[in-house]
Amino acid sequence: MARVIVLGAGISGHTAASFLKKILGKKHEVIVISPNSYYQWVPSNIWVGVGKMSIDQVRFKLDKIYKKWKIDYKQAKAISINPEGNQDISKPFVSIQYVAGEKAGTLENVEYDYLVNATGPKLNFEATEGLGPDKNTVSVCSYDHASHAYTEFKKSVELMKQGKKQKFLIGTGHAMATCQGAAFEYALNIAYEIKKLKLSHLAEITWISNEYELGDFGMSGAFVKRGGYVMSTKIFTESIFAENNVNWIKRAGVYKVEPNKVYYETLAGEYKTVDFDFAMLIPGFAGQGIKAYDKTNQDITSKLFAANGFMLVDADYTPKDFEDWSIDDWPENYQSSAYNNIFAPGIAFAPPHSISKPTKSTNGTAIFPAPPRTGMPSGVTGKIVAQNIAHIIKSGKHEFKHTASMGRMGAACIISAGYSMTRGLGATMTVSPIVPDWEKYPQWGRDVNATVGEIGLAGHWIKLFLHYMFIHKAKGYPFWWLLPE
Amino acid sequence: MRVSHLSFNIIYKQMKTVVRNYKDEYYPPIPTKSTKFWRVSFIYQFYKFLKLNFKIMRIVVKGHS
Repeated sequence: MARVIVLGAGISGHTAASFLKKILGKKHEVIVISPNSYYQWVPSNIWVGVGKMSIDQVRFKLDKIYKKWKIDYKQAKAISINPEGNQDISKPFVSIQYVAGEKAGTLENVEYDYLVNATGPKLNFEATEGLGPDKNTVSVCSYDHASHAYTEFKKSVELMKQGKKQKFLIGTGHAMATCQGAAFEYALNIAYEIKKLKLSHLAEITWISNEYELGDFGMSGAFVKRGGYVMSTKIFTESIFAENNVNWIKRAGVYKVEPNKVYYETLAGEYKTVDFDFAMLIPGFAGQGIKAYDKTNQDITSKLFAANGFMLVDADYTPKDFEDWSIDDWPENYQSSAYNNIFAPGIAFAPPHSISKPTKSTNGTAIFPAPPRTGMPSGVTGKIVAQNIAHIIKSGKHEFKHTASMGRMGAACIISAGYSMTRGLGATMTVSPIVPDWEKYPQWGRDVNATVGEIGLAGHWIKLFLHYMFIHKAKGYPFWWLLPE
Repeated sequence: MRVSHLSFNIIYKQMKTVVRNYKDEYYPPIPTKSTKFWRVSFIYQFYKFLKLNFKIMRIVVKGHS
């Protein structure tokens, strides 16, 4: 009997665990270790942030599902990995610390045959002074953050109802933050709600971002066919902002937040400030800071993890110039470069480089987006890792039947721009592949026939439909495995 | 309340003229009334819903092996 441990129960970890158990059945053991007691459908947090969904509509308890699936679930956080065991334990193991229940605070070593590290990102608010829900800004990165954002938003709305002007600042809160798409969605939803309340004349909404141009979204922008032209997502994004009276500040690296004031540096090397009454700024991401030790208890963290805490996998990490980047640099099976029984799908793997062109200010500060990894690639990579591990266990052959490179797979991103079944809006964006392939598509970097950028009510319906579909899938309701990632 | 021609002129002159060009927000394309209508037209959007779902599914199916 083989034992597979999955660290993390987010989109990637939960997908991996569900497929591992489905394929391996009762003969093998699957253990999920996560400090969170809930699964959350992260893309819908935007709607929690504007009060259109409750917290319980975007989350559910993990223990019931795992009990039903006969997956052993431990509500604990991973502290360290011993991929070779140690002097007392011959097998590889993970050291964990329970965070809830009777065992809270207890340490345990859990042995494994295969390990899936799907711990996702650490929201690195500490990297920007004064940033975060405990300090001067709000966030929509988790359901509790989004709920807090809605509480603060309501306060601003009340002030506007009293005739007081409010300044809204939305965007990225670090010079190398990613997830511009989520912030973009939130800016549009805020604008939509304010417009619906007929308070637009009292709201000044500003977008602040580390992107070189709007519409970069950390994926070097894209080109879409619209109105008889092939146009950049820069035009698409600027048009949506202009229509909604959203001003913008681009090429900005936020480095400090004080109450009602954001400090940022521009690519031109200028140090500037912008005032706000309400600010939702996405933090930088980092790995979870898990340590690694060899058999003699020597620290081998740098062998398993990159400096930012993300796991090193089958990518080409050789430093290269932007012009020399290739889709072949990107991982295909997410196997650790150091140990062949460890995998890191979703956001836990270290990308070989960014997708957007690295840019530095005249002061030497790197100001550009890190690569985004949305729900779709997280789910897909979680699934193929599960399929490959199950194949290795069942066949005894160490081969990869399934691959999922971000340089070959496409992604769909549905950006909500207002919640209503009859007047709502959503921007549907698809790109193929996620990482531009300039060899295959020399003109636009991607397949323009598969790349879409459209705004309309259909986009809202699709996002809502996907919300219910993915909750259905994650809860393991009938035929869940037939639904795509 | 009746506003005399004189007072209307005074109010009009006091209104600050907003010059919108030479700002970033001035240049992007803005949707016309017709575009806004089609964006929320139920039948047209239902067709778009099917079409976009088909495009998304094509990407999903082709995306990984």
